[in-house]
Amino acid sequence: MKWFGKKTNNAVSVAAPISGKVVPLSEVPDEAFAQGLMGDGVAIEPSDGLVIAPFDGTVSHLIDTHHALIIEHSSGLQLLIHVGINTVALNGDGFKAHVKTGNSFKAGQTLLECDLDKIRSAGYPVVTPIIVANEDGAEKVESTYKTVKAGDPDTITVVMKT
Amino acid sequence: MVEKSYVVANPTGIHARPAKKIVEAAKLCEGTVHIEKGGRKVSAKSLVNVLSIGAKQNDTVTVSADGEKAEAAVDAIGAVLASAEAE
Repeated sequence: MKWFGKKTNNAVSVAAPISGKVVPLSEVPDEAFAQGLMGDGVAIEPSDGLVIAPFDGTVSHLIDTHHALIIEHSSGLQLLIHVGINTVALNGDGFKAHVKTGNSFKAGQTLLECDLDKIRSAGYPVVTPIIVANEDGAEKVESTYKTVKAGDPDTITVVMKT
Repeated sequence: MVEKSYVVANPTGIHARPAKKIVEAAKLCEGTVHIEKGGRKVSAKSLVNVLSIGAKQNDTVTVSADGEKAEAAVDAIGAVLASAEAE
């Protein structure tokens, strides 16, 4: 379909799941994320703790400490949204999940509510990696490093492997 | 088939990062690699699946693999499960 411009059929457009500044993964203060060992993606330095659904989809897995979840788009794309670094250690303190594993959601719906001040005062970075979690990864992940508002369309484009 | 059981040592359980290490270890083996806890058996090559078994500290997890390098994959996954490194 030509009117989608240079986008190919297997490109998935992802809105910003959280407000803040989009940064490369290499700026995440954690080796596993920064070196891409966790997968391709980008990170957002959040200015607000509300994580919303960046597309219509389902919750593949909500980590029981509510600091991260994997969501799935109808194309099969699975995205890991991981709020903060080493925040598993907070054991859920400062995180409120609005969805459960298996739930369907609409774009814009609240997924997680995170108390950024609480996370920061506990000594953890709040930067939030957004990572392709599919077994085969992605062909590429494109984004513009700029300030975004949660729900801004086309913040991240993921080209799936065919 | 290679099958071994391990006790999860990580105090924060198998969350995102250790789960990813397990997925990478599973990819050492070209064949099927499974991870099982409490009767729930899933492919260890998918991050979502590995997270979905919800393994916590002191849980017993069974890892099995078939095919070339099955032993290497199982041992590598076992090393992640048995690592007490809190991360």
